[in-house]
Amino acid sequence: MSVAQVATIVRTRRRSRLSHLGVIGWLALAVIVVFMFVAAFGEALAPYDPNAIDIAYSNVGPIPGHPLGFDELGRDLLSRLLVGARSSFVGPLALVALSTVAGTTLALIAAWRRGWTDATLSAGFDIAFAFPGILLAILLATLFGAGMAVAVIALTLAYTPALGRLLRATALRETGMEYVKAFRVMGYSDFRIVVRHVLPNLMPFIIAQAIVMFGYATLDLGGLSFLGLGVQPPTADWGVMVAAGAPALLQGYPMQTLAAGTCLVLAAVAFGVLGDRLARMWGVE
Amino acid sequence: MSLLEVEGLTLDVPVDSGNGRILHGVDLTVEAGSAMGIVGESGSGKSMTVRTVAALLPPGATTSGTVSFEGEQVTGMSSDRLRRYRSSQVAMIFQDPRAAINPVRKVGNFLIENAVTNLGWSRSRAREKAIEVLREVGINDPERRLDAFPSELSGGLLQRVMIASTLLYEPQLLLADEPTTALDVTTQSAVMALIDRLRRERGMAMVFVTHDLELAAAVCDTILVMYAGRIVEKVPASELHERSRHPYTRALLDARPRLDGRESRLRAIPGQPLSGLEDVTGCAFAARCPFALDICRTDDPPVVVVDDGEVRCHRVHDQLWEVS
Amino acid sequence: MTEPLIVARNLRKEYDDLVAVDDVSFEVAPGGSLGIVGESGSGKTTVAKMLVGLERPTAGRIEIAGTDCSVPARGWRERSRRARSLQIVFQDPYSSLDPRQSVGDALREVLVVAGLGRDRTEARARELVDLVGMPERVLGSRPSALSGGQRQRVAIARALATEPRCVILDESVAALDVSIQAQILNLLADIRERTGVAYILVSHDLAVVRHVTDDVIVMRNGAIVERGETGTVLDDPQHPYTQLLRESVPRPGWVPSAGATR
Repeated sequence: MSVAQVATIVRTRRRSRLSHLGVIGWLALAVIVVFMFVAAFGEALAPYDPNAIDIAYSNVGPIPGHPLGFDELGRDLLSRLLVGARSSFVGPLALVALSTVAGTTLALIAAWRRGWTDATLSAGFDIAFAFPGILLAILLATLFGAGMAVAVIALTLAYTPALGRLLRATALRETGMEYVKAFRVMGYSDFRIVVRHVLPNLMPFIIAQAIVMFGYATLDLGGLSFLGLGVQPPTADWGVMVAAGAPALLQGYPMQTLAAGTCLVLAAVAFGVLGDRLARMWGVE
Repeated sequence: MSLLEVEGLTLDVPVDSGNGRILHGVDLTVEAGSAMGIVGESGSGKSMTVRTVAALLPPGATTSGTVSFEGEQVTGMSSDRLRRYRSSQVAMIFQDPRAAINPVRKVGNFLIENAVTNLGWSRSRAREKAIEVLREVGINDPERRLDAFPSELSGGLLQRVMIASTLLYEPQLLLADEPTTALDVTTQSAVMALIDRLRRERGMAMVFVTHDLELAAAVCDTILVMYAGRIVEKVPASELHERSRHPYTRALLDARPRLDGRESRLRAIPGQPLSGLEDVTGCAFAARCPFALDICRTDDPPVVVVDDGEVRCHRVHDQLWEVS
Repeated sequence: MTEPLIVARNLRKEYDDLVAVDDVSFEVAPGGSLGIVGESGSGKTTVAKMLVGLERPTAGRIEIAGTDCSVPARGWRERSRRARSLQIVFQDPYSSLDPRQSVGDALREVLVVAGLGRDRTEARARELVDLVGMPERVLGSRPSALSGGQRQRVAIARALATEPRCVILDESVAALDVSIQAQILNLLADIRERTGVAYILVSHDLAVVRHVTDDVIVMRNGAIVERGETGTVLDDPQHPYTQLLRESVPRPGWVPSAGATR
């Protein structure tokens, strides 16, 4: 038995065993679960109305009953953070869902058709990939007005080719497998082979990629909201909060920016780590 | 003192449920200048045995028993000593030469770098010697080949380059792990002829791992047959057909279709090869053996010395075959 | 003589400047067995791929059971008709099965696609695993739970599911251990006896070719260099290349030689 064979045995036995996430992987998963819970039930969890303004408490620090203190308009920070989780996740969710579906479809078409279809799509991926997503978002926002939908669409256009490029390589390897050739000889339709056989085998890779992408999406959309191109105030949103806290930051009241920023970074890192661990666990890179 | 002595070697590798043993007490001795073939099916541990000799083990693997080279413990070598051992005393060639040569560096780089860093030669001397050994392994216009990338050479040519690299420092022991399995038959014949000639000319010893009994018999002095991480028979290569006694060896010889005639049915061995990882009581081959008795399923057979060979079989004296 | 089952006439395949297959012609009788022998680059696998429609011949004609199959099938109906006349078993038992599909699902899917009613697929799937000498419980197994030899049995069962009149064995036993190889070779002989299926064996292994086939063609660099009855060609090879191939096979008393090729 060669080293490679032993390694294969070890690897296949390790597949899909959650115990191999490692401490860091579990920690990331825990963070994500907590964030998701908050995103779902934030309004119920919030101790106060997140939009209740009381200028008297403008930029007041933590006091009993208000562990994070207040923002510039005297709104309870903890409540805004909890409620803001939803809009901070709904955007990335839509973005990841759209670009995963689009990227996967294009990658599968390129890998299956090969030849000039593949060449054209690959070139398209490369060109689009080279164009920064944030710039595109700014362009679209000036054309169609700022807002969450425009930001999501702009970033979808930026994410799709990145994912398409990654997936195409993996899909090419999968469609070159002998079972695919065997199915062709068996008379299976192209649709059946691709959708019922190739796609399910790519799923671990796609899911891992989507999770990593989710991390980037929270940051990028948060960034767009920070720039005023995404979620519009007064909706509670972490990106918006980081931006709204900036003037206070300069005056020595860092709490709003710090709290919202920490949540954003924590979410991004957690998704990145989990995606990476899952990819390793499933044996995809 | 023999060149290589392996005694009671066991090897454990990490698997999901803790540790799995893939070698169960391997003993072998290689004299200077002699050639030993290790033959077996997948999971027999033949590759792992030579890798252990070269101290090339998968991460997390642990061994017990002794591997000594010229009386020195290989397992106790410092990393510095180990590098010297692998760069000047033993050489290893693998089944897939492409996996062993850096694909983005030129062939000459592979040959020369090794000599410069490990043997302390000057670049010009290393280059001169590299050209010389390439010519020796039958590569035409070696100067041009030095500037080629591995991808530009065929599998057979690349295996010759690997062999040439081992000649740079004239090792005492060549470890060859299925060096011709990925090659065409005609290329295999040529590469084996080359290895055989160079080995004899230089008095190099060899441990040759293969699944092909006939190939091993053609270029080795002694054949070891391994099964499930154990050596089941040791027989002089010249007596493989006439005097091998282990039911597994005989079954392997019988299972191959013949080239010179057609039998209606092959004598297949039932079941599938066992890997060393499996738990076994008694003889590992008992489950597939047509001659197995009760004792075979309960007691580990002892090594019995017969004529010039050794056999691990309870029924070795039962005249299961006519042995001349 | 009966109508040949498969006829290949003057097959040619070019890739850019490379001629992979050059003027190859042969016939296979119903229930017959043809060996295609050669080394890497001989074009033997390209011939197999053209026969099953995975490659399009640059020139030449392929007839299977009296129908022109020179170009890959267009349309589902034509594809599935061809699937019922010719199948293939590949070399690598690890990549030739969908890793996510159980043996039973794999067999049932072929049967459903081939148009067998769902009520009959179950019985037929059981028949098939029995035909390749496996217990019924493997129907529930994923490929990862099977050994290389067992996977190859599944691949053979799958190829036989549509009751093809001919199966191409593309180095199908080359990756197997000696003891397993013998089992599969015996199995292939049994299946041919029971079903009357014809074989085209693509192989570099002369002993295996001798065991399985009645007739043989020897290919080198895309062209046929020798053809004839398998026993005759292997016992008394006429072409120097066939002689070299024969001489290169390790056997008792054999000594490796540098040979004439590089």
